[in-house]
Amino acid sequence: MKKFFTYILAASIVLGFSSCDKIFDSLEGDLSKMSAEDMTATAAGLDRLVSTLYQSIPMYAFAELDKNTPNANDSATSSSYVGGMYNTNAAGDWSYTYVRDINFFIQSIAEAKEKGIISEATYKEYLGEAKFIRAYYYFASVRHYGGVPIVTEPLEQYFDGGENAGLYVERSTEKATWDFVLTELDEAISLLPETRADAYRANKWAAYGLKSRVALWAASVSKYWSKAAIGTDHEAVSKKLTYMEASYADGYYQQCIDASEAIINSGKFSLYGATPSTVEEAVKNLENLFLDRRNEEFIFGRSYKNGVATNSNGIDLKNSPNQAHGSGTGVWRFGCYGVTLDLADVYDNYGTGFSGVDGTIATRTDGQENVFVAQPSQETGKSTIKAIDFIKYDSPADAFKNKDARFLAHVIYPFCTFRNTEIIIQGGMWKSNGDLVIYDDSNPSETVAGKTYYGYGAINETYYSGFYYRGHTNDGSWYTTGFGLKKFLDPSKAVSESQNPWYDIRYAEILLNYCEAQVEKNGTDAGQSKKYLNEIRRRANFRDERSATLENVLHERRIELAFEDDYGSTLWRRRAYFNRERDLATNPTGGRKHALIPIVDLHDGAPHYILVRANTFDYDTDRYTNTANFDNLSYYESIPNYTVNRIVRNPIQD
Amino acid sequence: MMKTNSLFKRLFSVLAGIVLGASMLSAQNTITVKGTVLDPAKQPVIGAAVMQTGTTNGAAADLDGNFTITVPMGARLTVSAIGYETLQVTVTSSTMNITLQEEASELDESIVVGYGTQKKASLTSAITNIQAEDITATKQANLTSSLQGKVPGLQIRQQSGAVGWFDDELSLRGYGEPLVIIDGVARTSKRINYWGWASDNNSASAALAELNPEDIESISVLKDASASIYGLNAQNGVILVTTKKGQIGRPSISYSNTLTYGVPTALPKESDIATYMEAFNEMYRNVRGGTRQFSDEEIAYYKAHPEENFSWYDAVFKNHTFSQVHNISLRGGNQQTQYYVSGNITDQDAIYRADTGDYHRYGLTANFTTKLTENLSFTYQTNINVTDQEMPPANTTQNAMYYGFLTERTIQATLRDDPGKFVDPGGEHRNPVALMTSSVAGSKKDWAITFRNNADIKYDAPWLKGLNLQASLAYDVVSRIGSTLSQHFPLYDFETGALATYNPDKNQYDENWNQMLTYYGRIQANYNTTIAQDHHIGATFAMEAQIRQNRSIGASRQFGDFYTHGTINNGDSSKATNSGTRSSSASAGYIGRVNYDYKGKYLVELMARYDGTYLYAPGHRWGLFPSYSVGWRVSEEPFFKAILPKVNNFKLRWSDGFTGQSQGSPYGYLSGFTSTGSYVFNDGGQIPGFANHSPAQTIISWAKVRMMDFGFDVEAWRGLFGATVDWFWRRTSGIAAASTATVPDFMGISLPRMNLNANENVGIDLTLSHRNRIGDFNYRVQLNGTFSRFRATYQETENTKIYYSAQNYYTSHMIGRWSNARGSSMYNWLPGNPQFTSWSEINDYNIYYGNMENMRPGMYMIEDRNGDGSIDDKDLYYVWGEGNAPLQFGLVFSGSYKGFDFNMTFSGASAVRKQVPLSGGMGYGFFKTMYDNYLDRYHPADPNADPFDPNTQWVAGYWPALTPATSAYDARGTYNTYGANQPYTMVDGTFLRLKSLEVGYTFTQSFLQKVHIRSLRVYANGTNLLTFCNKLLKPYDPERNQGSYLGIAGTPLMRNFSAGISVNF
Repeated sequence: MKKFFTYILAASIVLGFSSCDKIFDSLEGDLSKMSAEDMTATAAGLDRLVSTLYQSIPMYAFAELDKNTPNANDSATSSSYVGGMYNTNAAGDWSYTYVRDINFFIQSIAEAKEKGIISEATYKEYLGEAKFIRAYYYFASVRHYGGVPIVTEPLEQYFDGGENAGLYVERSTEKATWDFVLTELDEAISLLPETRADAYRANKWAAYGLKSRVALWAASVSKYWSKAAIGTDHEAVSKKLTYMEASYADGYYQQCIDASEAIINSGKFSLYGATPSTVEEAVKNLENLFLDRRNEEFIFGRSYKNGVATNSNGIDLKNSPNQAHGSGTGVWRFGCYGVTLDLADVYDNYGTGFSGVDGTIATRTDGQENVFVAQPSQETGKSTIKAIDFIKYDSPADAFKNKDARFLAHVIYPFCTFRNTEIIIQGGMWKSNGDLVIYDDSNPSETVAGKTYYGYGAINETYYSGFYYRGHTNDGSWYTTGFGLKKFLDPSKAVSESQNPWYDIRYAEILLNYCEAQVEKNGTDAGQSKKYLNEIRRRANFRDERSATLENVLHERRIELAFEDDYGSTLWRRRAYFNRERDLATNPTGGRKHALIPIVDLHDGAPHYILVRANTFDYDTDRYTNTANFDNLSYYESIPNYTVNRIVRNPIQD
Repeated sequence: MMKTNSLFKRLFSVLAGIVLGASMLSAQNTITVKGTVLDPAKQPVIGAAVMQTGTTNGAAADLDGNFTITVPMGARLTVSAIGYETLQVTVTSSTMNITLQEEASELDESIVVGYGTQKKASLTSAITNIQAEDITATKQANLTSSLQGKVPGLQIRQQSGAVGWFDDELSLRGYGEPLVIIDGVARTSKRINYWGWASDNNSASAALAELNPEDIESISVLKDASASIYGLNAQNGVILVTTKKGQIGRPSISYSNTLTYGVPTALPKESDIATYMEAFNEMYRNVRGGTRQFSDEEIAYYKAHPEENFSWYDAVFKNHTFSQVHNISLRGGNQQTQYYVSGNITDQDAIYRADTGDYHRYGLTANFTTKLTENLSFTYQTNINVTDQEMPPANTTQNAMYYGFLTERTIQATLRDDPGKFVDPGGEHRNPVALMTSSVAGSKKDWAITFRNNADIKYDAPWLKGLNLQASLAYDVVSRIGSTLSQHFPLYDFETGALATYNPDKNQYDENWNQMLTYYGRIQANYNTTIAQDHHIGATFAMEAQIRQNRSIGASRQFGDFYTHGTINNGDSSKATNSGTRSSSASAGYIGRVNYDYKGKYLVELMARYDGTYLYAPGHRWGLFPSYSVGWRVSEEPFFKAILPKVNNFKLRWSDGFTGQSQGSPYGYLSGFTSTGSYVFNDGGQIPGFANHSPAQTIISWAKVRMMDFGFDVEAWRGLFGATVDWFWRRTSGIAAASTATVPDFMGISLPRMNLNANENVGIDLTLSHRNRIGDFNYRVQLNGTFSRFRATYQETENTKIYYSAQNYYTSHMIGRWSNARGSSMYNWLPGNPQFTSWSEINDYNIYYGNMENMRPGMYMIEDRNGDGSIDDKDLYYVWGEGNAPLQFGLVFSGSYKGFDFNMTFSGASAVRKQVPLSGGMGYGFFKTMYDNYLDRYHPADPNADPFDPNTQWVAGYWPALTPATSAYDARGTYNTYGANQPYTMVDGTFLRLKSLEVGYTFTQSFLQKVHIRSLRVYANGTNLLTFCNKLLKPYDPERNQGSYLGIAGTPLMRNFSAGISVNF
């Protein structure tokens, strides 16, 4: 009621021809906005500004980028298939709004320090953090665009409505941009403390870790740039905006080695579950690696647990197998993170004494495991299959008995047991009358010796997890490759709101970065590199010693960091992305994704299973020729708005 | 339902008794009367009707005004003539001279204009006034629907039959939704939008729609610059509502009611399951390599078991609704104090079969005016309105229908042998019947109270005649409480009866409170005087200010597996969320207006408003908006009277003025940090982020709106003919837009928005009227129409738009193109609407259709507009699109004969198209149902023949051969072949509908006096009774805008049949 009279009074004041604006000034104003003074007056306010900066760090947590590589596959109709593995799905970071946030923050803390609001020590921490984040941003930018305009201060001050001269920033050369990122990280390293109260904020080691990664990138691009060389008739190349050369490489490799060594020698980090005594123990450790919050392997990453309400990364809900999904039927899963046969083959088997031996999955008696059926459900494909002498398995799971603990811990395979459920992944049935049915959504059945067998392995779609509905809009619930993602999933139960943290930089990567830099720079390294490489293998219970050759290091890297959005980067920085024109002649099946189709065979003696190697889709011949055309120019993406920005465009835009 | 039905029966038995009890007068001695009928100027009234009261005995006055009639001695005569007051005289002698008084012309009526009243004759602006009896003549629970077709320029389109939604589309002259001023104060109300959620925007039309029609005295619609007196945001015109006040007289108690039975206006007829299965098989056979989906056994089963013909539509919707409205009022007063009190109850039944959706409203209005001293009077008004509605928790009807139609019809809503168990329809879809059953799925409740108060003090200055001073205060409170309970419930397998799954909703309870307070104050001075008899001067000055505060708070908790009761505290506190907001706004203005007329012939009005708003930066808050209007009553000129004596009014009007339209977000001039997401720095704690990404909008201000209107009013033969025609033009300039002046991305923020864009509306309003009296039969016909177009005259973005081709220019260039040239695009048929009758015709056709694979017999041949031998988007034409039609018209025909009265209101629209939904509802394979109206299609004569065999005989039909669509959008327009943008699905949406028809009877006083009733009227009416439109649109109702693919989803419009009484004691 008091308010009522206040407003009546306010109204009377207006009506009384006093100051016209008084009524407007008497309002509470915009309660959603805080002034710059408010935000920088306290450290808590500054933390809220930093929060915004962290939110947009381009770290691609749980982004499932491996689906764009030969490691994994999405559902058949998913748009990301179009372009398949050749779609980098990594639209470069071109957010100068974000850069302005960072730069404005740097300016704000400087002012706050001047005014005595924050201490010199606090200022240094914030500044180090800002530089670390800015390095993260420009790293994402340089690897996609080459050299970019480097903006280090808020530019509004140069807006004059006329020429706006100060707003136009030239692109730096690619080398200068890489160097800028590394310099920023050096400053961050010197400014940041070793430990911080907030566990997911950057500390000195995070900056070293990022530097290890950035330097390896810069070195690899330098060394392999000429492998996908672009002619100097492109302006961006002649001005060295999208140009690196092998002579730069060693310097960057050394920076990588130094940064990695700083972490390794700090003694603060080690591999989680480093020395298991059995394969089972290794599997358990590897399953728990990402569920355990910030263990000794964690260097930098992102939390999904806020303690108040849902803050999920969604990985479980999106990618749990259909049979062990936990949200009941009728909920359309949209993950279908299908792991390819190509990756499954790469994991080693345990040989005698837990030595590593070739792990290519055995499907046929003649050992010709490089043959893939092109159109398995069509007559041509079926006749190819009928002519093959397959190994007869009692259960498809038997084919994976000796696989690397990392395979068992991180990949769902046909008829494995997950969450106490046998995960049925089966694509067809060879009937007793000799008819072969593959990918038949009517799910035909046949009863032999009192037992009923089905095309997809079980009575209806609730009870199997593979191949059903291929090409249908709802196919996202069933694997298309015979394998599925298991890394990051809770092994005991379905989790609707996954809160496991994202390990963006972890110790194993640092070891692998070190090995790669050493062997690239110096050739095979029998010293530290060999030691670190075998430490990683020992964690998976391999007991033999492998030498640190480039091939071995890259092999280990692909396995260890699978599904952690690393493989695409590795191919990219090493300029090893699939090139149809170059590779097709020597490797006709190269670059195509493959599936393993378990089939129940009723026509040839006692019922048993055979495993068919096939192309992922029946009809992918067309897609393959149309979309696999990866051009060397594509290693640098199109520069947005280059005319408005008045900067040199990239070669692909010429 | 039983209760209301018996009430209905009782009402009719009462009515029947009353009619039977009516008695006749008896005959007595007769006398022959000779007389003359004259007007006050002693001129004969030619043709005046002289009737013996209550009989058919009568005579007409001749050229000299003389008449002769034989009547019983002492009988009463009723003497009437058009344009004169009807007179009753008792026969006392054989010669009688009767003088008739001229009827007060409508021109002398005072009508409400901004901040005052004016005589209709001296108006210089386009203002339409409509009185209580014209509104209640076609009473509906939604007041805007009652206005439909009655006010030229007011374009109204009913959108759904959902009760309590108030979602009629309202636009004045195509400008948009006008401001609604109720008793002097701009008022709004929350509105439930198309998707069933209470919209955050306050809507003026919802405030209008919610009013009780019985409480309204009059409504004035200000359509031109005259609206600008209401200042900012009056750019779309103003609807002024004046409610009933007390009046001098003995207490009068009125009671009225309306009992309504409603059925949907239009629904496509669903085919039985066997027909659907056959059509579905045919649809799939029409695809190369496609196979039939249903076996002969299945089809035969459904043919043999008609009781298995389950329809999801029927499971969700009832076939009728029943509603009732009761209203009681008390009105009276003496010289000192007058009062008016009314209460009303509205109880509307939703058409859902389940127990949700019903709408209830309870209103109480009270006011009094009393004289404090000889010159000082005080008025207090209050209005309390409570609404209450319960809805399903999920996205109501829209999705409920959608879910149902996506489900195979072989699956029913509940188990065959246990109707308490709901079936799992499979897929991602849910069981709509379960979702709408509140005991199973929960419900969403919406409760609101609106409490409005006005207090006025008025002082008639004794020291200066014609001057009065007035002060007004208003205080409104609107509170709304919404609560949603979503429950987890089991779904069973239809075939086995086993538990299949649970509805994915969690057991969760949400509650949201919000409150809006409005404070309003005004002081005002009015002065009217006449100088030297001929100079009439009127002046109004006022100052007003309004402050509004909004606040809301919401909370929700989940219950886990065990739901107890719907209160927040019962939920799991670890699964709790909450939210809250607060904001306030203010506006103020100084108003001045001066009217002058000379001898009522030359009329001038000058008006200005100095307006302020809180939205903008200091220095940009205030603006002056002047306007003027002039009129010339040509009919008052002697020369005009000499030439056209029968034209009693002819007035020319011109008005021109400015007003402002507020735009941009409040406090946009303050650069500030706003909350953006959060980040977890430590497990278990999150830090909200703040960022500043918007530049300060320091120079932006309102858009300037200029409105012009030229009109004339004619009335001739004292009302036998009348016309009002207005041409109008409105230009809005300074519409906020981001400058396209280029800055590089590196700045990191976009340029502030400035006042840049402009557009204009132009059109014409027309009213033609005719009223007459033939004997005891009085009637009035009014025809009105509006046509309005719109175009952008400047658009900043076009400065930088790049056109790749002539076609690209054609489709994306907007400046200067009228709305009719940019509505929707459509292909044209070849002359004669030829269809491909066979495969050979398709194969031999020499024009390439975008997707030959999808060609089928029955498809229409499309004009290759650019002659390039291929049909693609370059061959499109622009046509009027769907929406609130730019051409709307209405016809009101009302009359009375003795005690009977009737009113027929037609309304219609044209220059609009409507898409016949192909996928939504029809099938084409996406929805699992089929409608009979699509069965007239091309199909093979032998259902088992191969449709791709060139020798197969086809049976012709309107629709092309059926083929399946894979999504709701697919059948709509992806391909040229089935593309909806062809004349066969993009149909002319012109319609004319009998919006309402009411017939009433008022009982004579002689009978009623015996039972102490002052007057009694019984009536019956119907709404949406008849519709004339393209027959393809009949199953979908042409008035609704359903969008192109929604089919029959949503709530159909209703055809209502009502009856009621109105009694006055």
